[in-house]
Amino acid sequence: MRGLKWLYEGPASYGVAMTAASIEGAKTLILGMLGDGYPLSEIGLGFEADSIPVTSVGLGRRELSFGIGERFLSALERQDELAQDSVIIVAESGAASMLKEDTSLILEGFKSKNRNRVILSKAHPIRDLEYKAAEKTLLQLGQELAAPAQRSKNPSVNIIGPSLLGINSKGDMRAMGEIIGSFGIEVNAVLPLGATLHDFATLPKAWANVTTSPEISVGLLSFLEKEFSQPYVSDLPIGFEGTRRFARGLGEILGFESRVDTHKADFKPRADFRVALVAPPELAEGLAKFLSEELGLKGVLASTFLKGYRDRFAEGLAASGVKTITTDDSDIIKGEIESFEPDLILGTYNESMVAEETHAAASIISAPADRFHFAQANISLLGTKGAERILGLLTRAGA
Amino acid sequence: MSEAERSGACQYSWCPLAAIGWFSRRFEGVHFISIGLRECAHFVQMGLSRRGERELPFSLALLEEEDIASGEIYEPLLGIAKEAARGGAELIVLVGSCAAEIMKLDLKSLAKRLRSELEVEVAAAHSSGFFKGEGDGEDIIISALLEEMGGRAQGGSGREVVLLGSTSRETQAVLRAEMEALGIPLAGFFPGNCLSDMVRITEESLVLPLYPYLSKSLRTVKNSFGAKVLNPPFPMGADGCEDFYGAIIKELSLDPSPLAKMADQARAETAERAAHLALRRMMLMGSGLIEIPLARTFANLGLKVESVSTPSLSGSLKGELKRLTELEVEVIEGADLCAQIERAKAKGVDLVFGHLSLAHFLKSQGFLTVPSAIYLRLEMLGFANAKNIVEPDLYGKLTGLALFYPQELEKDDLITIKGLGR
Repeated sequence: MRGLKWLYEGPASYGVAMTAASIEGAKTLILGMLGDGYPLSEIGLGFEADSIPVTSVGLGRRELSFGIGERFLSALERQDELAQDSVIIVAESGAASMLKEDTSLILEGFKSKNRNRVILSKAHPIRDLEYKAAEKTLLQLGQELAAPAQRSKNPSVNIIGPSLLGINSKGDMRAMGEIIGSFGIEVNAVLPLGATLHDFATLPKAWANVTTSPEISVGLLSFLEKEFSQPYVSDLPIGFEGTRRFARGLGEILGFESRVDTHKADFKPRADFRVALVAPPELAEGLAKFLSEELGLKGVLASTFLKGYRDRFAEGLAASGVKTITTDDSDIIKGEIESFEPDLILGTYNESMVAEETHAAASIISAPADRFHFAQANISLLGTKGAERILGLLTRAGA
Repeated sequence: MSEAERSGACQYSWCPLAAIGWFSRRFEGVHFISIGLRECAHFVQMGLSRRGERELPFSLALLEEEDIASGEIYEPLLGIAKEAARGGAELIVLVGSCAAEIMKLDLKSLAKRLRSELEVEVAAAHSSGFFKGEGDGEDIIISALLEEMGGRAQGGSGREVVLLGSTSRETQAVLRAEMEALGIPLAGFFPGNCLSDMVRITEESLVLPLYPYLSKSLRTVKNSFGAKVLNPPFPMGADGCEDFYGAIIKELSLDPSPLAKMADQARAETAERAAHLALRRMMLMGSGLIEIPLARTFANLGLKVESVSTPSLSGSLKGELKRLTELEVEVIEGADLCAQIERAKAKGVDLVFGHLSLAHFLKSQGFLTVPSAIYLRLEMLGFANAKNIVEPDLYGKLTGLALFYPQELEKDDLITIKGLGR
């Protein structure tokens, strides 16, 4: 048992539901109890949803005694009746998985008569957490739907990664689109946010793939590379040099010469200015490199809560002299931030509360955050415009 | 319950854990420890973290695979409880979950061990997502407090009234003043606002629930304390208060004459707003049980209430259901939400009372939408608060929630033309 005050990652069913709800025509049926429909709360309150993308099977005590089969089947049938030309993703909640019921027979029987495509999520209900479940969902949809196709006439890329899970997803989507457009390259598809099922089917038309959220995209990126020979750039374009690096990487793949401007940061922050970062690893690493290598800040603390990235995260920042922490324990992160005494904290909602206590300036740059912050956010830190925004944050914090 | 139709599909409600939110606002010194999986912890966190308090009134005790396999959780739980006690908690409530129920965790034994070791009050609330609505959470917490502490509470002797349900100090003041004016002897409120407030329930107590979802607590009151329970309509709206106080006056053979005057005054205070609302065709799509008395109040105010649905019904609603039958309001138990939306469209309903999570969606379907969560936090009990029921705060200044309205309508139009909001 772990005693926690703040969870950085939600459960697997949440990762599946939020990913699927990003897509037009994908529905999530949570094989869970009556009280397990809460992802809908987050979607319903944080976003202007005009449909109900998530429902729960609603298991009760009767099913606990007599088995879940009848209730599960009737929920599937109802969902199938309500949806049209959709994919229904069935995700088990943690508690439902403890009942250890074999649902595969019910699903197999149902598949012979359903109108919509039904997929059982491969995310493990307890072992996998939100990001891994989102990654598995994207991969599963890609495997199910992507079909061989001729490459587009002109060079094009897919932008993979923006989703309801990310606090700045819409902004990132726009920023990445602008960066790609500035190279004269077309965007074939953006997914999962705002995508249709058809967009998944036509993924192989693109010449390459880029991502705004490597952590949830890497499974699909690898699959597309292996099955459809689509190379990808997994780096995020953060900072001026980071954006140039991204452009060079994409240029090498697509055979064009990078034309990114040679703009450099002419902003010189105070030598003693200190910044603490808490974010998914690729974002935290990109920001830390920008602050330490491009702006010359000595005081940078970079932290990530995705424990699977521990070694890679530390290695990525080893040369920059940035102190790294990989933990999902909010008390440890709070303690480290307090002893670091930063002037500016860029993190999740939790760190914005730490900032209130320590009287540091703060900005929320990563989920989890309150659902109302999602509606207010969507300010991307990607690309040269994103770098300018970071400089603005530093300036306002007195750097 | 012959008054209700049963449907039984596609419901939507919050897990009873949601009750931690409003209960902790009304009871000082309480700290909840939610023992469950990541779903439970994330739900509580996302719902309550924005309160901006430095010391949140809850901890997340996250069950991991080894806990599920062994069932041994006392030692780590002790650590979490110690920290809560160090933070100043006077009462710790262990809150169960679906996982705890499947594991058959004995929360009562755990609470007993913690109580003896920590020397703070510890209660065990066997809540879980197997229950049908958010109101059930309060019922489970109060019945746990009754079992653990009801017998040890102070006061409450003789033939006096005990009001059951969580209430703010403001609501208590309103009810206390009104009962005093009516000559009703009030022993107090259970659970009150802190440990020292808890009133003792005896065989002579006359207990009345303030909310429609307290059936488990009422069973405990009857079975463990032998108290008499009255189940009149709930004191929501002038009509409900008149019935509520009227039942007590009749039971205690008191003078009924001041009651009609108080009811008339409350009706006068709501008349203007009620006249605007009377133009509306309304449907209440329930996620708890609070919709039942509100449907009765809205119907008595002159709105055309087409139907009210709720995840489940209980025996304590007998009085309310009788009134709804008289008012020709259809009651549906376990309604299919999607079917309800179609029915609302077919009947030309323009005002929907629905779950907060669905408010944007209901809005997109063209309904003026009032999120039911407003009423879980609204001061609405008693004659003096009756006007609040028809004045949901448009900009959420009081409730933190806003009225959801169709996109094409401007807020000013709503205020001036539709008569809603301030």
